[in-house]
Amino acid sequence: MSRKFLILTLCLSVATLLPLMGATAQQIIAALDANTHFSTSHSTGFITTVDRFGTRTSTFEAWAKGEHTSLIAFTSGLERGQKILRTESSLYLYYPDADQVIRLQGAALRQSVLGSDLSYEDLTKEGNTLSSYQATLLGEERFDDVLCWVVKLEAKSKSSAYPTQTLWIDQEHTVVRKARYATSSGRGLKEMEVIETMEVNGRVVAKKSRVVDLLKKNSHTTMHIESLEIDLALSDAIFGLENLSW
Amino acid sequence: MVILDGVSRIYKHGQNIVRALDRVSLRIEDGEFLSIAGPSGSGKTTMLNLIGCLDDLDEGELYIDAHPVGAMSSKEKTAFRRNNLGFIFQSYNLIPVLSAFENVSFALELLRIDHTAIEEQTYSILAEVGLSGLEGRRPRELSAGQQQRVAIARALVKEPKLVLADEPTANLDSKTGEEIIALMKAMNERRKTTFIFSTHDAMVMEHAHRLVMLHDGSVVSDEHRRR
Amino acid sequence: MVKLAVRNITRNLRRSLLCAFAIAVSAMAIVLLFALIDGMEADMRDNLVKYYTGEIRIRSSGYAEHERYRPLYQSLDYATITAVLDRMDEVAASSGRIEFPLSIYLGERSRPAVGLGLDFEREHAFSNLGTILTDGRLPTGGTNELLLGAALAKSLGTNIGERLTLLASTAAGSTNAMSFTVVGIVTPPIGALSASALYLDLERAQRLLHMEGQVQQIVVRAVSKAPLSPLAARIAADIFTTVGIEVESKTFSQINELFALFLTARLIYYAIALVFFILGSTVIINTTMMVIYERMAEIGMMKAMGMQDGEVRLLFLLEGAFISAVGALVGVLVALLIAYLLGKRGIDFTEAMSGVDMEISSVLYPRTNVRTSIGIYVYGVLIATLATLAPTRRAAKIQVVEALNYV
Repeated sequence: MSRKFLILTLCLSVATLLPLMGATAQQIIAALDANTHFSTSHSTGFITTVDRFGTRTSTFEAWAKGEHTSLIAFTSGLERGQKILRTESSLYLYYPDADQVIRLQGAALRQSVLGSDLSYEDLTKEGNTLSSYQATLLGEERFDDVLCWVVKLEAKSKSSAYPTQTLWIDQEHTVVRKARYATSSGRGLKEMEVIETMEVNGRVVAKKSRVVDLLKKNSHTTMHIESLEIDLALSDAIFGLENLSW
Repeated sequence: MVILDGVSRIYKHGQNIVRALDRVSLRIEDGEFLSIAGPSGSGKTTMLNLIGCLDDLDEGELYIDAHPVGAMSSKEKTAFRRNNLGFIFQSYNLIPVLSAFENVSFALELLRIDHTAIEEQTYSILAEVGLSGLEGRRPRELSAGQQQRVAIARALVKEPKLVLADEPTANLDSKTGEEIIALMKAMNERRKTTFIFSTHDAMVMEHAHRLVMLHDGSVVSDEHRRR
Repeated sequence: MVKLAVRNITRNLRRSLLCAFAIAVSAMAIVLLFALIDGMEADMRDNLVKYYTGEIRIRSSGYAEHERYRPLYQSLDYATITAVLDRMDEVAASSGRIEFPLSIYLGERSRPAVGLGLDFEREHAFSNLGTILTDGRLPTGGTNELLLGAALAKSLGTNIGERLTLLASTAAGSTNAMSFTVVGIVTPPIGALSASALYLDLERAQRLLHMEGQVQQIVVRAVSKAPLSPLAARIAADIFTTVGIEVESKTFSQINELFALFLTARLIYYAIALVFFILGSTVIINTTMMVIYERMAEIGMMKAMGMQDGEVRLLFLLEGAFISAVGALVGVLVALLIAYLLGKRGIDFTEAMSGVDMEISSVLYPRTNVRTSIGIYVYGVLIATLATLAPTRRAAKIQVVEALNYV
């Protein structure tokens, strides 16, 4: 599952090792990336979207391995059986009624998942933050009574999903508490807030976060992680294309 | 009876004033065979045009059978011509697309008379001018003399009181010209139709019963001959 | 006089023929123009009613507001609305449809297309796909089968029996994909449909788009040929009073601006016709002018013989009228023949129309009708005759004395 909503929000307990004073933006982001990388993970949870159609909830089960590979399977509602597979190079969609797996590329990656405020990219994007973003420390700020670094990330290439990101990073747990995604001119695209965190294997991760797509009217999506296991043994076969249709 | 009483026709060409006809008085009785003679520009054609109700007079009075021509509107003049006058032109002026018969009957058609009457009268007048058998020919299929005969027939078919002919023989050779004059004379005698024709051909003048000589718009002689 | 006028026409037959030809060409052009326009109008009407909007289209009242997002969630309960429509005596037929954008996935390739979920049984009164089926068969209800537009099939290189996977946005904004077997190829007369449309069973479209029991629009055919807008209003009112649902109910001519434009553009075509005839008449005006000078002495003679001005005018007017009557007749007849032949064969605009998003068939059939043709004939003769009126004034004004001297 994605850095932002799973791995990224996982935080190493060694966060406290990070020198509190004099940390540079690069160091903070490197620590954030380091703290959010697992060898493997398995999680379950649900996504609730509230918009003009009412409130919809979809449960999911997710597996992740390494920096690039993840699989999400929806387990309830109209989307039951749909799967999203992210590999290092591609994103595949599996639909139960289709006998062909659909490979998404380019702009299609920014389409909404289940009509929620989350895009495919939001859910699955991997990678080294510092390799694609230039980080600047803007200062410190309290968010929900938690002291945070405020770091601004500016995309190095135009292919990045968001030209700028502003992250509020919990200084104690090195976990993102709030994020704002915007165009290079500063126009807001999305906002994310972590509402509740939980501790797994000594790391603090987001349990419940809320995402608002600022381009949609009266819509927000909440994502709940109900269970999370990390660093467990996962077979590569789980992430095989041929395995999508189980 | 045609009466001209001090009739003048004046043309203005810029500053020049030309009295084409200058205070002419003349009395022409019914049944006359009258020739108007004189050199070019003496006023022959002007006089014929006035009597023929084709032109407007500037001075004097003109009566045809007691109708004051000077007082007529152009529409009235047209109606008067249609009903009372016949014309014969120097160049015949036949309609090329109509046959001899149709050229002649055209004059009657303008009078809107009964169709069978038109046919009867047309055949009879064409026979009278000696064109029996040629009724169906177009003008270009007829000789010059024959064409002028058609024109005479056209002028006479509606039995007008007065026939006006402007140089009727000018385009014909002398022999044919004489034949045409003879025909006109014969018609005058038979039908008692008044003929007024202009000419400068001395031989043609010989045939006239009365010869009016014009010079510079004035009558210089008026000579009655034997009848 | 009539005889004389006719004979005069033959005097210079070549010149008269030229005049008649000019009028004939004008008349022919106009008849063909109108035939083409009538053909287009009829064709467009037919296409709109069959493939696009029916005579009347019913949608949820909120649809139009967000139309460009294709808000499938603004749907209608098919059974409820159909029950109301089926009770209305003025409604001859109705059918539910869902039109939606989709991507076709064929191996690694994908391309956008337009899906049409149709109630095949009820569509008999509308698109009646059986009549444009050029290969294969219609889908069986309740199966994942579809029909492809011929041009689309060709560009995809897909044959009957092959499977296509369709990906579409559902009513709630999520995505869904389903695979279908191509069972038939249809060739709709409109190039754009042939190149982008695929037809599937309504129930399958509902499943794909997560809109069970719902339709995006219901198309309606009226019983009578009476104007449709009162019926459209009555339908909306009936639905509201019986089931309390607010709908948008519009006639095809209200929906399609181009068609509405067609109707108002008729006036412009009459103006074009006028210009054509006046152009055609210039030849006759010019000729009449020439003829009057040529026959000056003759006119003098006729006037001397007692022909009134009006009669002289009438003579020339008759000549003009006969020439234009013959010319226009020939022109109209030739045009009717051409239109008839073209109407049988059709004019293929496939090349010209490719990429043009218009509800006009690629092959057009000019349409002629007796009333229009007679109308154009009378109109043409009238204008040409009136045009000769001007130069005939000149003839009437000629002074006899001058005319006789004119050589």
